[in-house]
Amino acid sequence: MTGDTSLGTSGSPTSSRDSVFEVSHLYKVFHTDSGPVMALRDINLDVRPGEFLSFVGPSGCGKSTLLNVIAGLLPASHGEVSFKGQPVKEPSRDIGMMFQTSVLFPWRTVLENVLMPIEIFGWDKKAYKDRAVELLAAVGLESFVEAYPAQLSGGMQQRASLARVLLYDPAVLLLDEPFGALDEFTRENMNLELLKIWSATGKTVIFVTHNINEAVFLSDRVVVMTPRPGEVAKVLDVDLPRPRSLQVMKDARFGEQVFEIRELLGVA
Amino acid sequence: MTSVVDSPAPTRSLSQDEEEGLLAAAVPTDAVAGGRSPSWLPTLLSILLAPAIVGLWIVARQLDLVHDILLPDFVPTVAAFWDVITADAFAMHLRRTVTEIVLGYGLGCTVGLGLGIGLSSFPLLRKAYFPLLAGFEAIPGIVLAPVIITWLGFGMSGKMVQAAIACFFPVFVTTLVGLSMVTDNELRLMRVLKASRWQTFRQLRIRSALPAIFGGLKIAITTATIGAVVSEFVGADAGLGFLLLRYKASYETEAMFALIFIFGVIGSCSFLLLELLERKVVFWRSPS
Amino acid sequence: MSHEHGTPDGPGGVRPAEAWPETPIRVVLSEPARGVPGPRVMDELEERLLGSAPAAASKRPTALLVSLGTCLALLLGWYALPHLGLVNPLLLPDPIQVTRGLWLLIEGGFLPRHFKVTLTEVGIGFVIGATAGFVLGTLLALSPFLRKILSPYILALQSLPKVVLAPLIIGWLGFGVESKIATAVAICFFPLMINTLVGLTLPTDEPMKLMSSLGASRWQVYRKLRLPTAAPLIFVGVKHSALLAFTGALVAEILVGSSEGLGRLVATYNQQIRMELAFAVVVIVAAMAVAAVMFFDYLDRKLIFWREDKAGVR
Repeated sequence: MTGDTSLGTSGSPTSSRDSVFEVSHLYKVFHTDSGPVMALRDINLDVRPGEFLSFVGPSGCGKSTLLNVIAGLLPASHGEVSFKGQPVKEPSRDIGMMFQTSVLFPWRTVLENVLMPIEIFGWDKKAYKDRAVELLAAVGLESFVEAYPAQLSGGMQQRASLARVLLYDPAVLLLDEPFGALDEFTRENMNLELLKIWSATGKTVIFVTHNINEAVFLSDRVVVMTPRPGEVAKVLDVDLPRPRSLQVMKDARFGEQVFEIRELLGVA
Repeated sequence: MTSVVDSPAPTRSLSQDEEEGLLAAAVPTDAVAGGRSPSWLPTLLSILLAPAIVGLWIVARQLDLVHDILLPDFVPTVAAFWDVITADAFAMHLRRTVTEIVLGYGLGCTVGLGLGIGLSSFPLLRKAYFPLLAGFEAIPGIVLAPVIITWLGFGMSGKMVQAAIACFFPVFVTTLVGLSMVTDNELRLMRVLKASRWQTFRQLRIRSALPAIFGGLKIAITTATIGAVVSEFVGADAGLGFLLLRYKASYETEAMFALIFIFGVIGSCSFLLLELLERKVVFWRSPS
Repeated sequence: MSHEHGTPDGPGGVRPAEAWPETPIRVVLSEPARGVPGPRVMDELEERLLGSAPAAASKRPTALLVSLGTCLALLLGWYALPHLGLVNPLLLPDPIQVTRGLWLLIEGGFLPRHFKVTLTEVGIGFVIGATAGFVLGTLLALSPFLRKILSPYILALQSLPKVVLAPLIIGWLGFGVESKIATAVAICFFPLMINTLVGLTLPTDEPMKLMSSLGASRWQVYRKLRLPTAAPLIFVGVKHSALLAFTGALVAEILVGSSEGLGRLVATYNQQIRMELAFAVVVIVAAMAVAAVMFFDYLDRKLIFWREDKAGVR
């Protein structure tokens, strides 16, 4: 495989000096038609290597904004964000993102869509083609490699976009409500697939969602955020055993953790 | 795109005052991103562009870079504007052309709307006639202009018919397309409410279609104007197009410029009128 | 005028329901071949409720019959009108006379010669006008600064019917082909510029986030995102531009008495009240226009194969 990639380490979470991301006193202010808005206020966070971290909160709590700042897509208004010890100035190829919509280009086949990052990086497409097909098979799309996005359902499109982000093997995955537009059953399937991929590759994952159950089910830690202005209410450790199956939802501890978050958000 | 505010000291939480300062400093993102120039500069340059063009014009004439007949002097051209407007017959020519356009537009739009609405209720007829008529739309209307003049003479009726033909197609096609833009759920709602065909049409289909229809109406006013003017070119006894050709024949280029400007004004006014009408009728849509 | 960007809903507003991940409804209909997207379920609600595929499919041949039948009826009516004395046969010759006139013109070499002239004028005018429109549209799209400066002038020019410039252009460039080409350029350039500008500035928030996250350069964003997103609108603009160039050339030909070309032929034959010849030329012009539209629509289907909003093709 050509191109320089670095695989995420799956070491146990240690001191913050080994953090993948460090967010320090982050503020983000937006100008809107109805005046300036403080979307994020004094966020302090560290993301440990190999962990599955969720941001959860109601709409307007700034979780997507926080993700975008961490990704380097938005500048901070005040404070510091660093990735592997370096200040974040722009997006990095070692950080892969998924969005709420699959963002597949309708004029490209599924395979061409998956290979697009390789094209943009200027790497050798041919060298990655086999791996791309493998990944598509791994997400269940082997018979749609030459299909066009319009022929795929929403869930299938998101799976293709997952294959796309995995192809160039970034150490970190930032997922902004990737399964929010899907129905419950498809979403659960995708969550299980995501966990499988995460435990196989040891990447660091930050997952944004407004679904508390989903956050607890997936994560090692949950960052609970409250809106107006967006602040971190608490960072919870999820001490449920791994590997997780849907059965874990029967565990009393699961419900307790969900309710703890609900109380923090004022919806208990 | 920097994301780190460089501070010599390690970052810390902000005080109340500092937070307020941050909020106050927030600016619209495109002002920052577009960034290198202040926001008033384009507007200033825009305003300066007109006199700059006039300046070039005057210089070109002074240095005699362009022949007098092709590009008359600036001041006489502006003066000609006044002369043209105050000429005896001008009001008559203006009235003539505007009437042709308005009547032709009215006729063409009525037929277009009627046929569009009619065909939309009969899917079979729609499938039969839409491709046919859409094919006809491509034919340049001017090729018929001499024929229509031969049939109807130099008078108003020929121009009216030409304008009507020109504006029929855009209205017809957009009406048909607009009426088909209802969604599944909207139709279901009407069925559940046991709405009659007429009610469904009036309350749902026609209103959903209005944005598209207005799009067609706006295109149609342009094509109707073109139709009327071209028809006057081919043969007429009055009208602004006729006047334009007469000025050309007598090499009164300043007057031609003036008339062209007037045409521009007519075009803008008619378009603006339609915009205003659209905003009132299709009030739920923000203008595109 | 530019068209809005289509939404994924087809004319009937129907979206196939989200099926289980393994079997989306769309693919069940056909095997997607390389380069050709499979058909989608887009019938109107009523047709779906009234009957399944057999009923809908049987409508198509019937529709074809109806249109053919109507054409036939119109032809017969056309034949009848002059013969029954309802219309002066001098003003409206019957179809047979027109066909004979057409044959006369072809044999006499008139038609081929003038056809070539008009085609050349239109061709050159279209190429110049379309290229200029595309280039200027792109420039304006890439530079918001330039756009802000020029937009009031563009708006003003937009409302001017460009045909009105024809006499002036003829005064400037004389009676030869140049003025025809210039008129064609003047009329066909604007719409494509507008469509290019609008197409290249269509909102693309989410795809832009993706491109940014991959660190794509400005050129990459233009080539891989903006241009394909703009392609549907641009191509419609190209089609309209071609037809407008045709119009422009014809107008200029009609205005100049000594010129050659199909427009001039129509004008001359009308003056001579040789209506069968005039109509013959009209038929040729119509055929050219329809052929051009069919060509562009074919190209559109091949190049812009992902076009969702079929209505946007006009």
